[in-house]
Amino acid sequence: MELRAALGDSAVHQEPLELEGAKLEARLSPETGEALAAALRSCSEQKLGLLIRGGASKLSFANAPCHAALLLDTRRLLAPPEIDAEDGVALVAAGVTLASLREALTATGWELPLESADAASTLGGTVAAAAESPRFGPVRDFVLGLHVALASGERVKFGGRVVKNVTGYDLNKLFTGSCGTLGVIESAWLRLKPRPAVVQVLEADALGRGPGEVLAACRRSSVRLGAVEGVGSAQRVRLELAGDETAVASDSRELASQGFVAGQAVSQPEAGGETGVFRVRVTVRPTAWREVADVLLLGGGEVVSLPARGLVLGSFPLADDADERAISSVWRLSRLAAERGEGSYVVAAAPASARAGREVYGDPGETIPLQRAIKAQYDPAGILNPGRFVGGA
Amino acid sequence: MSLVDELQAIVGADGVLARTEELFAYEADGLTLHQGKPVAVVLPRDKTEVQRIVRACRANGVPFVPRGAGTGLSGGATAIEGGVVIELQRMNAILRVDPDDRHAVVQPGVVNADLSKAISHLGLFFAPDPSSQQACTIGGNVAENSGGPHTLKYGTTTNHVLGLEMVLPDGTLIRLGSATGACAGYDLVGAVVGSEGTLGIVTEATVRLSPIPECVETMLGIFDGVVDACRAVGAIIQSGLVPAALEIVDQRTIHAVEDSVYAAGLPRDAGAVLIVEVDGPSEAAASQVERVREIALAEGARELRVARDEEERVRFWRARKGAFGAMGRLAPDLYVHDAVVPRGKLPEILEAICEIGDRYQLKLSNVFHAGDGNLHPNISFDRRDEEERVRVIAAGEEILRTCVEAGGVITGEHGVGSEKRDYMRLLFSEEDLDAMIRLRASFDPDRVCNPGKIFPATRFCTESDPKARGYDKVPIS
Ligand SMILES: Cc1cc2nc3c(=O)[nH]c(=O)nc-3n(C[C@H](O)[C@H](O)[C@H](O)COP(=O)(O)OP(=O)(O)OC[C@H]3O[C@@H](n4cnc5c(N)ncnc54)[C@H](O)[C@@H]3O)c2cc1C
Repeated sequence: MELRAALGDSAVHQEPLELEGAKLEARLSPETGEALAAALRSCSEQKLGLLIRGGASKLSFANAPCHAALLLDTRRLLAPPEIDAEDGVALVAAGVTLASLREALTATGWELPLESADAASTLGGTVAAAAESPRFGPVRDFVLGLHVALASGERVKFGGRVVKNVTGYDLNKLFTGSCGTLGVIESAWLRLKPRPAVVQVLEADALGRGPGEVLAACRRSSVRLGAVEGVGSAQRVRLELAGDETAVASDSRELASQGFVAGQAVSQPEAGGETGVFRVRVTVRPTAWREVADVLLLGGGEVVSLPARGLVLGSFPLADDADERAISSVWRLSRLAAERGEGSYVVAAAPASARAGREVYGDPGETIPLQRAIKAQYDPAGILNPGRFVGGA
Repeated sequence: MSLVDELQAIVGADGVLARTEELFAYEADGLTLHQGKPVAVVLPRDKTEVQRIVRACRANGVPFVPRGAGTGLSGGATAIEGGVVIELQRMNAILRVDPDDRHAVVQPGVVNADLSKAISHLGLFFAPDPSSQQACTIGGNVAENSGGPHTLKYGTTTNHVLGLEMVLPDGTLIRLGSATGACAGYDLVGAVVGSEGTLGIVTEATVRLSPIPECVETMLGIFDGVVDACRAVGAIIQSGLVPAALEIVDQRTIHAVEDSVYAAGLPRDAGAVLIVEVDGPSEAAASQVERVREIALAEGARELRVARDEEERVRFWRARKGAFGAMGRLAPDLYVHDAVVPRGKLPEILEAICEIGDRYQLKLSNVFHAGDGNLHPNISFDRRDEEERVRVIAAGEEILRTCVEAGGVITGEHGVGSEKRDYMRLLFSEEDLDAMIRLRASFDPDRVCNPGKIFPATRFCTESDPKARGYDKVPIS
């Protein structure tokens, strides 16, 4: 009832539902930052756990929630984006979908450096989950400022709209990728990328090319996406070149001399349904990409390597009711792949049963006490996505 | 045993400075306006010594201040509340270079330029390039999230740090991030970079290395006025070009440089020069030069000179990077501001800054990272002249207010330190500051690591008392 008073009737939907194994009594969908903050304050006081979702494309990511009573839906935080086309920056509300933002930018000389395989993905969810974009790199590089509602109901801001800023701690970094466990993002200032004059795709057989050779091709200056896809003799290197005409032409000529030909668009890694699948992202030493891919290929799924980013993505069919043997086998493979690349892994999607009782974030090691201390500072009542983050934070 | 004796027992007698005359050099950093006297300066050789020093300070209830080369411009390395300065310059080894994976592991005392020198034969460099790079350390760069002229294309230090090892304020050693840059959980590396030495002492950094571009072209656009040069910057950014650097030097700075050892043949009658650098594959660089030329001339440049050879290129940059040094000739002290504004606002803000300087009758000049909107209004003055000092501070505050009103911030790369802590409220509410203090409290609940920095002085009593803020009730496992 208190929530109705804080949020208004239209933002409280009493529709019990079960998500991620949690039984939720109602869904809250605040339309303004004030309403969001009021809801958080009230939930903190009553110690009501919240499962937070944007476009829900990342719902099967993160550890299973340990206790949550309500669903907080950020899709109606929808103020129109403020695009500064002179400066190449934009203020975007959490509920805005990446697809609509991309659309809003088409008339400008700028493009959105965030990606998601799912059309429903929202800005808030993308920043909170911070999955590295295969084309543009880490989300953190493009977040200039954040407006956040804390669990206490305080509305705070970090950073700003300028492209260079060291005024105070860089809390943008702490909150980007914190999966909604420290606060709820209301909006973000993003740095945009100049739209390239030319985009061109080239491809070649991967087989018969050494891993170093492929890595060097992916690292050429106008290559913004370099991926190795497929299995065995069908394995292809696909390169997406982008930039001004001369730069692309010069790289393209050099690559042609190495046997690359005009190719098909690179398929969106990690696309496709989110059920019945186990996805892992392994971050590795760039030079180890092939060894790591070979390990993951043993699992009989699809593997996409992004050598220059030091990233290998694996995706394996795994039924929602898979048995323990099948589940532990994909986990073991993930761990082995990370060890082989002297890196680490994150399970990006998996059936709830395959995540229960396991740490999707790999091994957080000695940083756990510090991470818990941070969580306790920002969310002392433990209401934000309880149990979803590292070490059950 | 006194604290100084304890410190000597840890690092040896030659690793502790405690006599008054030895401490003079440590009373300030590059910001001479703020001073603080440490009880001692201690020079550890390895992380274990750092841990023991921190524990000794804690046991004696004395705060400590990490320090690199002391070139900081916001008072960050000054012991403003006394205590022990821990100088990291002896920890200056490059521990590992992995050229194929493009990273290096270094100790914090490695001088920025020394790293790039040591790896140049591998075709690699460390991209953050503060103008002070011949002296400043990587530890200082990490703490300040330093930038440089090439930040426009390559980003600041935070984009080049993959992992850190640090001694926390309770003496524990911890590793954050990794050689691949991945971390499980919160981005702690991202939170520590730019934290101005207040969250612990960095004892090792794993940094990203970048490939030296195949071709670099450096140009000098010569303009009648600084405002025209700013317009050209806006036009270049909007054209979609991403130059490696876009730097403006105004007329007063040109004169100071040309009168100094950094003289580069900059035209004295120019209102401003715009240094533009583009890099990449040879053909691409050549076509970018042509586009820059078109834009610069359309925006009123008198001339666009392209450096003919490496020697001329180095001379252009020496003039830019030596500008602060040259300005040191104009007066005994130099106060360097560091505000940032949205790039489209540069022309009007530059006019406003010059007006403020004139109104306060100060020697104010500008040399700055125009491509990032990062201004450096420099005020030359004599700090012994009390009346002038008051004008310097008042003008500085007015400049900061003007920049904030235009949507900007008070510091782009030099940090808040003790210098700008009282201006934090121009930008942040009490709740915003409180959110930052929560991070501080997670790392340093007792506020012993570099106290007196970043947060407004009037917050100190609550910041220093965890009980007053309820931290003692928060379960910290
Ligand atoms: C002529 C001149 C030009 C400059 N140009 C630029 C520029 O272009 N761009 C730019 O960004 N800055 C510039 N600066 C500022 C300064 O050089 C940088 O901030 C630099 O990174 C400081 O490095 P340092 O080693 O001197 O650090 P110090 O000044 O010794 O310390 C700076 C801060 O870092 C902390 N610190 C140092 N070492 C550690 C450590 N190991 N662990 C934790 N904290 C630590 C200190 O406590 C302090 O807060 C310039 C300064 C001068 C004098």
